[in-house]
Amino acid sequence: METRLALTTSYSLLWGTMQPGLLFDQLKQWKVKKVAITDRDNLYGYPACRQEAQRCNIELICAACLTEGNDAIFAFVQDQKGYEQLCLLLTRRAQDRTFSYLPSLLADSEGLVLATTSPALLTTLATSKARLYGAITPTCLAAVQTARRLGIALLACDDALLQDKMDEEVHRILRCMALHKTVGTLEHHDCSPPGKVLLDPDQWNRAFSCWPDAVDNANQLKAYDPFPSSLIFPDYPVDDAPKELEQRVLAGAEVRYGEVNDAILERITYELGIIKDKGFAPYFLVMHDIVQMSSRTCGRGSGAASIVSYCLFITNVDPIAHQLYFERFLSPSRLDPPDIDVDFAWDERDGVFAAVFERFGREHCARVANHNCFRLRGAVRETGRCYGLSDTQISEAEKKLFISGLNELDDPLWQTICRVATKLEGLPKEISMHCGGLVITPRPVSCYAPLGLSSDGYPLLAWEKEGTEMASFVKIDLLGNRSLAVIRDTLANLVEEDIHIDQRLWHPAEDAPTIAALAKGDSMGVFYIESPAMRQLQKKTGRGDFEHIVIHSSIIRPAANAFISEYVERLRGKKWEPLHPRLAYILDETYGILCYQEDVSKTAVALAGFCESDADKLRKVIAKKAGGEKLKAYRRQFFDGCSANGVSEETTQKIWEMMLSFDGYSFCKPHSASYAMVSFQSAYLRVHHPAHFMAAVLSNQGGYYRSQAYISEAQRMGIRIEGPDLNLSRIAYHARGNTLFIGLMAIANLTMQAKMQIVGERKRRGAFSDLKDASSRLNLCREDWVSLVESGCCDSLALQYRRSEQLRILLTNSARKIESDQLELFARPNQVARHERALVQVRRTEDELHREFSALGFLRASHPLLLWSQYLRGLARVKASELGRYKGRYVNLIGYQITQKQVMTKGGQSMSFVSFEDETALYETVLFPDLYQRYYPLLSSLWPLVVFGLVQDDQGALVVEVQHLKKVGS
Amino acid sequence: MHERKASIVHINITDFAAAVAIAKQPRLADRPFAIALEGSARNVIITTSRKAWQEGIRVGMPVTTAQRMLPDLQVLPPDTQSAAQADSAIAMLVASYSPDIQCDKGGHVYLDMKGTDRLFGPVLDSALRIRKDIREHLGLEGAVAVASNKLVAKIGTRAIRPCGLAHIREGEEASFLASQDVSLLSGVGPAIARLLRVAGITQIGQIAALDDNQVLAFLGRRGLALRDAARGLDTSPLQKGVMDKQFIHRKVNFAEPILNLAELKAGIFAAAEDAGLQMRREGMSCQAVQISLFWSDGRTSEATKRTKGQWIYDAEIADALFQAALQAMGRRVRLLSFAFKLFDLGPSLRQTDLFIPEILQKQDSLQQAIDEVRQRFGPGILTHATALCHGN
Repeated sequence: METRLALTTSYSLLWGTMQPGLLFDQLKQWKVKKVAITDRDNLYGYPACRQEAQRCNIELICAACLTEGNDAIFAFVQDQKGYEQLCLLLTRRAQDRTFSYLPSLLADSEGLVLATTSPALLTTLATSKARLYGAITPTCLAAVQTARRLGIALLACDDALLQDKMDEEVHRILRCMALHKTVGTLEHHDCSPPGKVLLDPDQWNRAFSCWPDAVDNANQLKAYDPFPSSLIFPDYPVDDAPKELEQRVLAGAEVRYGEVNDAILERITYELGIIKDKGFAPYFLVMHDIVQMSSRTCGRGSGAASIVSYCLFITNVDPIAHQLYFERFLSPSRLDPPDIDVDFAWDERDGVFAAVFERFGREHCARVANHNCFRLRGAVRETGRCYGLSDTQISEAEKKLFISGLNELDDPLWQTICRVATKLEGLPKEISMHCGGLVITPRPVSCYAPLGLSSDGYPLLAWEKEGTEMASFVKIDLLGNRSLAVIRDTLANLVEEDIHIDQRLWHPAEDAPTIAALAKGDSMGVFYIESPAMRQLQKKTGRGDFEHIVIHSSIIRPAANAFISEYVERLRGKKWEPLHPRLAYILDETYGILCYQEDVSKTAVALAGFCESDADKLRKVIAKKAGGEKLKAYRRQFFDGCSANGVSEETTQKIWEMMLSFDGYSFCKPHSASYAMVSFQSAYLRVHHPAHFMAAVLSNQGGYYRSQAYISEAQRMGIRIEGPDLNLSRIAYHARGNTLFIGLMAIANLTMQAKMQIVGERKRRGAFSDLKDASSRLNLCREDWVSLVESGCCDSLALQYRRSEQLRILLTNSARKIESDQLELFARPNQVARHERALVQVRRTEDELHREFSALGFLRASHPLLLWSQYLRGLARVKASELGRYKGRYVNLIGYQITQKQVMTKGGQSMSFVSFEDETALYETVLFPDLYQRYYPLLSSLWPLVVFGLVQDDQGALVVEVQHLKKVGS
Repeated sequence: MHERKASIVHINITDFAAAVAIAKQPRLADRPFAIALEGSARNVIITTSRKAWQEGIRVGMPVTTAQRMLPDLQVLPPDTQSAAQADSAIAMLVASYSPDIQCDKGGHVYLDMKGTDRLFGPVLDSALRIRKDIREHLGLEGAVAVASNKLVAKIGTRAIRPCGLAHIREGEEASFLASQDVSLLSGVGPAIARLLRVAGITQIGQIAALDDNQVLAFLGRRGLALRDAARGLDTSPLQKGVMDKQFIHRKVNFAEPILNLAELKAGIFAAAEDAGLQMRREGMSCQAVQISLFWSDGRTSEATKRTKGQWIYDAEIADALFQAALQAMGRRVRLLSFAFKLFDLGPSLRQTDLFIPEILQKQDSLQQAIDEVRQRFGPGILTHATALCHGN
C-alpha cells in the first residue's frame, strides 16, 4: 500500500469533500509513500496538495481526472512534456465545456500515463500509442475483461471521493449547491456513485489482494514535479537586458536627481548588481514598459525601497532621502522573487491591462485567480437553502446560532445543517479573478499552467497568489487608485489655465503650507489621510511632515487602536523607554511602537533569534489571521527564543500583543512612504489649487465621503461654487480660478447621451443664448429636460423664470421647434408677454430647493440644512465652528450626518464614531454602546439631528461625547 | 347628452396585504409591520402597515434600511393565499348587491348599482351597507366611493383613504377632480409625477386645463388619455372577471411544508385522479393544465403545459401536471401547497372514434373500469401507487 492513486479533493469544486491538509495527515499516518490527486478537469488544488505532500514527506504525482460524459480517464504526469500536454488539455476544456479530450489523447499523450475504468474508453484509447492501463478500483472492476482482451495491464486506483462515509451528506449538499437543487429534488445521477470512501490500509490490501500486478504498476508511476526551480520571468527582446536596464536607470536618475552623485551611483550600482546576479533585469524592463502605459503610477509594497524602481518611474519615493532599505525588497540571501505592485489611475487600469496583453501577447499573459472558499456563515446559509429553508428562517436561526451557540437550536434539522456547514468551512467553492494579479511568461502561459477564462474574457490562471508563486511565476499586481486620477485631472485642469507644475522640481513633501495644513488635519479629499480617524490623529499629533505622515499611514489600522493612543502621548512628550534595549535601534523612529510590517520580523530576529526567513513567515501568518496551529507554533518559538535571550515573560507578552496588532492589513515602510508621497501630492494641490483639486475629487468620486460633504468642505475652503449650468458645465467637475463648476455628471437621471450632446453642441456652435435656443439646438427627451431644469442647470438662461416655467418653455418649444411666444402654457396669451419679464432673478421656492437636492444630492448655493430651516429657527444651539470655546461643557448642536463608522468594543458591543456638520464646520462625535443602542435608528437617514453632548479634548482633537439625539422638528 | 347617474361603487381596502394580515392576526393591529419578499439580499418593502408608515417606513424601501430605522419592525412574507381568499370573500359578499361586479385583485371591487334602488334603497345607503358588511364579516376596513364612473370612483377612494365614504354626484366630477393631487390619477407613475411636479402641476385640474398642444408637448401621445381621465371621462364598462370560464380546479395543502419531490408527485397524482374523474364524468377532456406552487417564503411560481390533442386519462393528466411542476420548481424553499387547473375543456372525443388503436382501447377500458369502481366505492379506493404516500 505504498501508492494511492486517483483521490478526489475539494478542489473538484462542489463535488469533492476531502481537504488536502486532513487528507495528507491521514495518508502520512498510514505511511503512504506516493499519492496522485485527480481532481475533475482541473489542477486547482495542485499547489496546495504539493505543499501538504512536502510537509508530510509524501511524493505527489501530478494528475487529473479527465471527464468524458459519464466516464473518466485518469491522466498521470510523468515528465515535462506530459505536464504541458495536460495543461493544454485542461485549458481547452476550461475554455470550452464541449471540448473532448479523446481526439487529442489519441493523437498525442506522450509523457502521460492514462487509465480508465470504462471499457469503452479503454477500447478507444487502445488504438493509440498512449501508455495505458485498465483502472481497477475497490468499487469497480469493469475494465478487467476488456483490458485482458486487449492485453492491457491493470492499475490499482483508489478513486476515492470521501475521507469518511459520513462525508456523503457533504457531497450531496455540494451537488445541491452546484445544481441549485434541494436534498429533496436531488436525483441519483446528480451525485457520485456511492461507496467511494478512502480505504484504510487493511481494507485497501484486502481490496487489491487479488491484483498484485495492478498494485505493482501503481508503485511504478513516477512522481514528477512540474514546478520549475527557477523563476518564470517574461523575456525582454534585447541582447543584453542588464545593460539595457542600466542605461534606462541612469537616464532616469538624471531626470530624478538632476546630478547623480556618488552616493546615488553607489546605490544604483549595488541594486543593479543584485538584479543582474538574480537575472531579474528583464522583469524590471517589462515593469518599466508597463508603467509608461499610464499617465501616473504609484509603486506600492516593498518595491518602493528600490532606487532602480525610482529611476524607472515605477515608484515615486526617493529611497535614499527617506532611508528605505533595499534589502526589504531584494536580498542576495533570499530566494523569493521581486514583488512590485503598481497603482494606476482607476479609470486607466483596464486600458493598461489591455495594453499589456497587446504588448506581450495574449498567449503570454494571464490574470491570477482567487479561490473563494466557504466561510462558516455562508456555509450555514447555503446548507440551509439546500434543506429548503427560507432566508428568514435561516436568519432567525443564524442569530441564535452565532449568539447563543448550537445548543440553543434543538431542532435536529439544524443540528444536521450545522454539522454539514462545519465540514464545508474552508472548502473552495468557486474560482474568480484577482483584481490586479498578472503573470507574463516567455513561452505561452498554458505551457506552465492550465488556464480558464475570466468573466470578462481574460485568460485566467488556475491558481491564486500563493499557488502562482509556488509555481515560480513572478506575479505583477496592477491596481486601481482614484487619487492618481485626482492628481492627474487637477494638473490637467491647471494646464488649461497655463499653470504648469514641473514634476522634476515638484517636492510637495517639503512645502511648508502643505505640512501646516496636514498638521491641522485639513485633509478632506487627500489620498489615504482623509478619514475622520486620520484627520483626528493629525490634529492630535500636530505633525504634518513626511516622516510622520509615513508613520500615521501605517499605524492607523484596525487592530492597533490601543497603541495609537500610546504613540500620540509619546509624541507629545510622554517619557518612554524601549520595551527592550535591543529594540531601541529598531523602533526609535516610531517612538518605540511597532509600526511597520518589517518591525515585526526585525523584533522577532532581535529578541527571539528568529532567522530572517522564519521572521518573515511569522509576519505573514499574523497578517493573514492564519491563527491556529501555525501561530501557536510561532508563539512558542518566539517565547522560547525571548526566554533564551533573557527577555522577561512580561515584556515578551507585551511585545507579542503588539505584534498581533498586525493581523488584517498593515504596511511596510516603503509602501507607507510611497502612499505618503501620493498623499503629499494631493495635499499640495488641495492647499495651492483648492478649487481645481476639489473639482477633481468630486469628478473621480469614490472618496471617503459623499459629494455633498466635499461641496460643503469646498464652501468652507472659500471656493465659489457654480453650476450645474447648461453653458458652463462640462461632464466632469472643473475649476477656473477660485470657482468650482459642478459637472453635468452630478445630475441624477441625466443620460450620458444628453451630457455628451450638450457639451458637443456647445463646442460646435457656442453657448446657448436662451431657453428657446437650447431647446431648438438640443434633441433631448422629456426626462432629460426635467433633470436639467430641476437641478437648476437652465437657471442662467432664464433668471427671471421659475423652474416650472422654464420646463414648460423648453418642452413646448422642443415639441414645436418653431418660433413661439408661448411663455406661459397655462396663462392666457394676454397675461404673459415674452420679453416683458424683468431680468431679475427669482427666489427659489422650497419645493424647487427640494427638487434640486434630490437631483444633485446637495444644494448649489447653500448648505442642505436650509431645507429644514423652518425647524431650526429659534433653536438654541452652538455653531460647530465655535466648539473650541466649549471644551468640557455640554452643548446643543445641529448635526447633518456626513459619515459614521461602527466598531465593536472588546466586550462585543457596537458603538459608533459619527462625523456631523452644520453650516459652519465639521465635527466628530462618539456614541458609546448604550447610547448607540438607543439612537442608532436615527442615524439611518439624512434627517438632521439635534446633538446634545459633552465637548471633550481628546489629546488635542475635539470630540463630542453624545448624550442625546433627536430629529430636528420632533 | 344623457347624463350618467352616479351608480358605480368602488371599494378600496387600503394597504390590502397589511389589512389582510391584521384580519388574520388581530394582534398585528397595534404593531408596525411590513410585507416583503424573502430570498434576495436587496429586498424591498411591498406594503406597510399604517403604524409602520407613520414611523417613516415606505414602500420600495430596502428591508435592511427599514429595520435599521425601526428595530421593532416586523417583516412578514406576502401571504398570497390569504390575499386571494380575502379577494374572493369580498367578491362573494358584494355579489348579493349587484350582478354587475368587477373584482380586481388587491382589495379593489367595483359594483354597478344601476336599477337596484327599489331593492336596496339609494346607492349611497347600499355603499355604506357594503362597507359595514366587509368590516363585520371580514374584518377589513376600506374606503368606499360612489360616482358616475369607475375612474372618478377610484380617485374618490384614493382621496379619502385609508377609510371613509366619498360621494361624487353627477355633474360634480370635474370640480371634485380639479383640486385633487395628480398622483391620485391612474397612469401617473413616478416619472410623470416628477415631470408634473417640476412643471408646477400639482392638481388634476391643471392637467384637465391643458390644450392639445400642451398635452402633447408635456406628456406625449398618451397624455391625451391622461387629460381625458383628468376631466373625469371614463366610459369603460365593468369587466367581469374570468369567473364564467370553464375549468376544473384542485388545491392541495400539505400538512407540513415539504421538500421531497416524491411527496409533491404523490400529491399531484392523487389530486389529478380526483380532477380527472370529475372531468370524465362530465364527458370532457382538457388541452391545457396549469400548476401553481406556493412556497413557504410567500412566493408563488406557475407553469403551464398544453397539448394539441386532448388529455383524458389520469396518467396523461398527472404526467402533464408533474412536468409542469418540475418546470415551476427551480427554487430551494419548501412547498406549502399547490393548486392546478385543467382548462381549455372540450367534449371528450376519444370515445367517439370507431377506430381506436388497441392499446388505447385497453387504456380506455381500464380507465373506465377504474372510474366505475371509484364511483361505486369512493374516489380513494383505487389509486396509483405513486399517490399512496400522499396524506400518509
